[in-house]
Amino acid sequence: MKRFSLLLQSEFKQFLTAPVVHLIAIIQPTLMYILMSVIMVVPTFEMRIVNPSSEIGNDFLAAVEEVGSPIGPDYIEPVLVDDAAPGYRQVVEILEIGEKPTALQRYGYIDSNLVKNLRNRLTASLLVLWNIELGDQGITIQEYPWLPNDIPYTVYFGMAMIPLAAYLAAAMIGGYLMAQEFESGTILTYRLCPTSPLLILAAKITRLLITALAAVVILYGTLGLITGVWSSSFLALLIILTPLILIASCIGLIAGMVTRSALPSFLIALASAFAFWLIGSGFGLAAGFSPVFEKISRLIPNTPVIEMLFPYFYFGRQVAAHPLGAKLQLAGYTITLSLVVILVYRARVLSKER
Amino acid sequence: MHRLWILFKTEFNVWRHDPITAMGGIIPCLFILIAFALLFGGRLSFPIAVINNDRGDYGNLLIETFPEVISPLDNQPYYEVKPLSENQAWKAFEEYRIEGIWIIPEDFSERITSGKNPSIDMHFMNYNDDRAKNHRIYSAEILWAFYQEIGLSAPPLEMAEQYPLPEMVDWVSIISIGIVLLSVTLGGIFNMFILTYKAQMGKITLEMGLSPRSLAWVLVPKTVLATFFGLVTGTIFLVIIRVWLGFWPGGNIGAVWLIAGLVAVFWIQVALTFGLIAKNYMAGAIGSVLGAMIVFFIGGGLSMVRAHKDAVTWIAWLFPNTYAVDPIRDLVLFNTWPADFYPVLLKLLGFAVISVLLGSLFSVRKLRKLS
Repeated sequence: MKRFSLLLQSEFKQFLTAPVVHLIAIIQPTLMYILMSVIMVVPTFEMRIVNPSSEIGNDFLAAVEEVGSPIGPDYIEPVLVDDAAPGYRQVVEILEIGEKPTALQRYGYIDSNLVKNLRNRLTASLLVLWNIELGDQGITIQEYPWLPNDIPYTVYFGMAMIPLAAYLAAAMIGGYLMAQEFESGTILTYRLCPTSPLLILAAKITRLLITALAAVVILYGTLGLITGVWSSSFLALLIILTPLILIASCIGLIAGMVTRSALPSFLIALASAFAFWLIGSGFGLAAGFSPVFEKISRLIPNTPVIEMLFPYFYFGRQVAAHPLGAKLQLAGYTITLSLVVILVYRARVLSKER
Repeated sequence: MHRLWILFKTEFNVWRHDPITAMGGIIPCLFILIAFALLFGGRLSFPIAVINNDRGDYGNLLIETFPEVISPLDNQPYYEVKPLSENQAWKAFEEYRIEGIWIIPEDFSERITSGKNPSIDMHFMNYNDDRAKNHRIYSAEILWAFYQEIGLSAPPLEMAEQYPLPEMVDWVSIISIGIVLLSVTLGGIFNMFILTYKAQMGKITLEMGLSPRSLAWVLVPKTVLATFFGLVTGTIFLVIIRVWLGFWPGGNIGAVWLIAGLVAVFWIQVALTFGLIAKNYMAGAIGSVLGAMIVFFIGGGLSMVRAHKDAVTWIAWLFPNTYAVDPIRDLVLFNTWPADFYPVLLKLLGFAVISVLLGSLFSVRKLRKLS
């Protein structure tokens, strides 16, 4: 135990060889979250509407104000303009087309997602008018949302970035420091020292675990301060993230040992961290996207981790279809990668052939 | 000139010895493109269950309406009605295997016919407000189509649309151009790293610092080569997009190279300067790469800057990517000449010139100091 403790201290001292790398790896996801939470998708959209001159046009404007969430924000912020050109986005003009009063929406060079959002809002506004005209014949949708309020997207986004923070810190620092040992020649010390390789690897991984948890704590605190939403159990959060950090540490160490060069190992850590984040439910729960996406997403360790974190941020609501399966999956990945890291260590560090 | 050529060849040989890192502009970008294509490129219909208790025909007619209402996002219906029994539906909803449940009451048809406030219960997922918003506004699309289907009186205001192209440009394509620019940026940064990191590791920076000649002899070939390879990575990415998504700038490729090249020059200088300031070159490298990634996300990588100007944070305007990304989209996706091409070009030139001046100043001072 004493030897392990000394090894751990030595591992932590490596912070001094690359303090900036440590700080960047730990803080980058938090910085990204702060910046992205400012621009995060919000349900309220600006819609340019040509100043109406008719009564039906004024009715339309009144209907636009009705479109929104009964337990959240309005969905349209009308911007009245005089020019009927769509500009870079869109414009709605009330015209007579074929003797029928029509709301014509002209789009600029925009993408299908923006068209969808603008079309849906226009339809919802026109439906308000139609329902008024239909009176008692108009259909009412009685809403029963899953949660008592619509939760801002920044909450989910931040929660799904916590695994990214954990992964990035562990994989990047692990890969970088391991590669640095080869570049600076200190790897020879490991080869010559009479300590068990398992103990050395355990110290390295433990140190990465603690570093990654520091990154998690910083992002978690920022998320809470920005959104006011805190996990119902902080300890559970740390426990759930532990297997992911172990997986990331192993991937980082393997990259460092295989490439023996800081830049490619950084590249591997970066590419895997962002790919895992995006595919691993980073923008929404995997079940909410296409079936193909969901299948692939479930292979990524981030997805089960996010599903396990979900109840702690969302009033205890479960979303994992197979909670036990997710736990087994994470355990399987952790054990397999731990074995691989030992094998790679033997082949790349302890082997007589270099 | 001969000296410059020798330096070019030396730098090129350094580059050849680290091909994996030279792929720095491609590998992360390809992963990101694949991830976004998987996220937003597939079928995005909301899976729901419909519990139809209606004694009349309108309930069935409503169910038949769901597949007929098509979203422009993916040319698929907004909703995919899953054939589930009531118990299965509730279980699936609670486990979030479906997005919602619509319950049609037994007197639905009767109330429509007699005009007695017909209603539908909509249970839906609102774990994020964007998804909740989609449920609310998608349901309006369904009702709009349903009213027309059952022949109610015409709406007081009809709806019409005009899109400037015969075919709509999809969201993944918009993101892919953001990634092309990221690819050029990362390509430039990574290639600058290869060229300078090796020099630092081999202590050649000492020789550079002692050189009696201007350090421009060393910095110009590095900058030119890094920009060139940044553009090569970006072009490889454009070819990937041509094959995958079918977009190509055609005769406008020169303009794309010009815009993207100026962005690359900016980032190459940032990488060089930070690398030298940070003493530990890798720290600067990692900082600039992750900085470029952040700028991708906040500076129009995921959506058009012009169409969401109000959502662009002021920090994003401090980087050239935010100005460059939409004109490149015009050239590649919409095949139109950007209306703001020359103003944007001037801004990008300004960014490039300032970064070259400041970058050279810092780098030369640092290199001379190291010696």
